Amino acid sequence: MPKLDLEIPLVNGCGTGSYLGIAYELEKMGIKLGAFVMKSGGPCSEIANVREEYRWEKEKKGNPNPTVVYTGSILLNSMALPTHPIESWVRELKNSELKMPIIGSVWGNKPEDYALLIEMLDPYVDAHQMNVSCPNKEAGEKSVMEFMTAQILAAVELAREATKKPLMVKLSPNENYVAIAELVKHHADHFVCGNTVGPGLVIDIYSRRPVLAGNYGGMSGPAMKPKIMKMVNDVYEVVKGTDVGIVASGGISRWEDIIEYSIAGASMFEVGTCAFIDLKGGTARGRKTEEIVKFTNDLWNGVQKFLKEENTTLDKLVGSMVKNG
Amino acid sequence: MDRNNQYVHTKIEKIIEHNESTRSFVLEDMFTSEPGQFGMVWLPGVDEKPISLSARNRITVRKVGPFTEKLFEKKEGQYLDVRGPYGRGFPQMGFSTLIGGGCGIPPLVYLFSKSGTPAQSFVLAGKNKDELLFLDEIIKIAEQSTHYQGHNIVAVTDDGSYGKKGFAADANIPEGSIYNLCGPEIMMKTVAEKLTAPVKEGGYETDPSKIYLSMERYMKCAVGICGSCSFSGKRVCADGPVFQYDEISSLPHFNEFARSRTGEITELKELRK
Ligand SMILES: Cc1cc2nc3c(=O)[nH]c(=O)nc-3n(C[C@H](O)[C@H](O)[C@H](O)COP(=O)(O)OP(=O)(O)OC[C@H]3O[C@@H](n4cnc5c(N)ncnc54)[C@H](O)[C@@H]3O)c2cc1C
Ligand SMILES: Cc1cc2nc3c(=O)[nH]c(=O)nc-3n(C[C@H](O)[C@H](O)[C@H](O)COP(=O)(O)O)c2cc1C
Ligand code: FES
Repeated sequence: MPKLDLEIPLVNGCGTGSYLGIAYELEKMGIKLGAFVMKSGGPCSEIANVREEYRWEKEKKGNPNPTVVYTGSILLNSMALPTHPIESWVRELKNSELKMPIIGSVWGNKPEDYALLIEMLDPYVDAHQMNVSCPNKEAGEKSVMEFMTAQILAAVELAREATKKPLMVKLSPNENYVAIAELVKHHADHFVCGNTVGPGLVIDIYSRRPVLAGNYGGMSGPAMKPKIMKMVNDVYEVVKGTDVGIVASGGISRWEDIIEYSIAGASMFEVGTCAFIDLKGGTARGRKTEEIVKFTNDLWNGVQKFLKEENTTLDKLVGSMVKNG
Repeated sequence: MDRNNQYVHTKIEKIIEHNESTRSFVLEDMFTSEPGQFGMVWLPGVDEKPISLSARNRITVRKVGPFTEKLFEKKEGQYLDVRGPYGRGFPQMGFSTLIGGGCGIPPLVYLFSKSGTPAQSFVLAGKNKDELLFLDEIIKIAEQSTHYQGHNIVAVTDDGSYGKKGFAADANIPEGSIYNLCGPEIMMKTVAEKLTAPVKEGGYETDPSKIYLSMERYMKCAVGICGSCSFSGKRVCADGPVFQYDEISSLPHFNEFARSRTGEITELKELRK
């Protein structure tokens, strides 16, 4: 199966600034991204028959606010996958004027959901991500992460049959990702390592309630990088010698992080939290579009400068870590 | 000022009742902000919503649904949790004209009152006199200003209960070097169209980059990451809420579409139902 081969192996994080209109704006302003990852679509349909046959909903609202909280060092979110009918995603994709490749993303409640969603998006995207790792949920739900550990092999096998395009499985840092990678590595082209960490809990001392309306939230940002670095390196050990590529997703905030991730074993990189939010000075401030472009382009320019100075390539760096002892 | 996970936990010093559905909350403590910026007001166990500042330490709220109803149960002496400031505000320049409709007036009052801001004119538009929020305060600020000569206060109401009868675009809008607009999107669009229209058609031939509009969309994160507040490719919380007219006038979503709470692109008139 074909691996996704991007001119620039740097993409946005899934669900972070992940609507096509935003991508289009970023592209117009000259962002250097190899592809754009759409926000995870899911098992919701506007067609009654489809809902009945597959036990899908019409839509899923996600948690009320607050959905995001910043502690001064870690960002937590409890969006919990707000989802609209997949048909309206298809309409958006059909009307897209984006030039860069699009990576689809889907989540499901059962293995068949992934296959069907991938089939529906297939004509309009260049690769697929399977989100089997979001730790967030609404009250009374199971998170995709908890649910998938049991049925992941079936889900990935069915998804593999549903598309000939590159298939990326987004693993959770909170589960036994080494065992899961072992289990499904023959059906995937890439492993995305990882998703948000935890979930974690932040309590307001006055109301004694969790700040997040969904109580717990997946953690992201630079503080999570060492955790995900180890995950990338562990999964690299699993796929070493195969064609499976690793996509690093966690806490990238400087070009050095990309080099570090490649040494750990990654050949593609996703930047989420830090591209969209300026975390300087202990506060979280949304970046304007032109700031996102500058931030992202600086990342990529920094990588290129380093490679030139060191007279090396990313390919040569992948998995080049020299372990002690 | 202490912050808990970005929130300022602040006492409600005073509540001002403007009319049946509109109240101001004057707060003891507040982060520093610029006019046009907003805060996220959190009621633990209820929800958290974007609300603009109407003064350095004041918010002005219209009761429209579950969250604002709960907020209206708050009494003086009780506390609110607010984080911010978010977004980019209005430009502060001399000889500007501020045009506010209904709930769009309060953020402009903040701009109007900011000390050091030179002569500005103010156009207030509302359904009736009760909806001309802060009319007295605006007149007082103008009278006390050293630039009083330059101030020009104009009011219009839909029912003619105060000032000329008509909508904002029907008002005799004083000319300015820039225009700051805040109110319903359709009102801002109509006014901006009039300001940019040729003189011979009753317009002002204003350069569209001199017109600023304060936009609203459904907000979740308020820090530019979730995409919920995006219209076309602009994220209101991070790129706005204040935009130049030429940045947005040709975007397909302007005055037409918004993302709903699920992220679906929806016609504005559907969402208002
Ligand atoms: C940048 C910005 C500044 C604002 N400033 C003020 C202000 O100064 N004073 C004021 O009274 N109102 C302001 N609003 C609107 C205010 O956020 C809504 O009136 C409030 O969220 C309504 O909540 P509700 O539960 O009472 O009503 P609902 O029944 O939930 O909604 C009523 C209306 O409010 C809108 N709304 C609901 N939730 C949100 C949300 N999370 N984000 C944006 N809009 C929402 C809905 O689209 C609907 O049109 C502002 C909105 C934005 C985006
Ligand atoms: C607000 C927010 C929404 C997210 N939504 C999704 C999603 O829909 N699907 C998904 O696979 N990952 C989602 N993620 C996870 C990110 O794609 C990414 O894996 C994670 O945030 C770690 O990378 P970062 O530290 O660069 O943000 C989301 C993260 C955040 C902060
Ligand atoms: S509310 Fe603006 S991007 Fe999240």
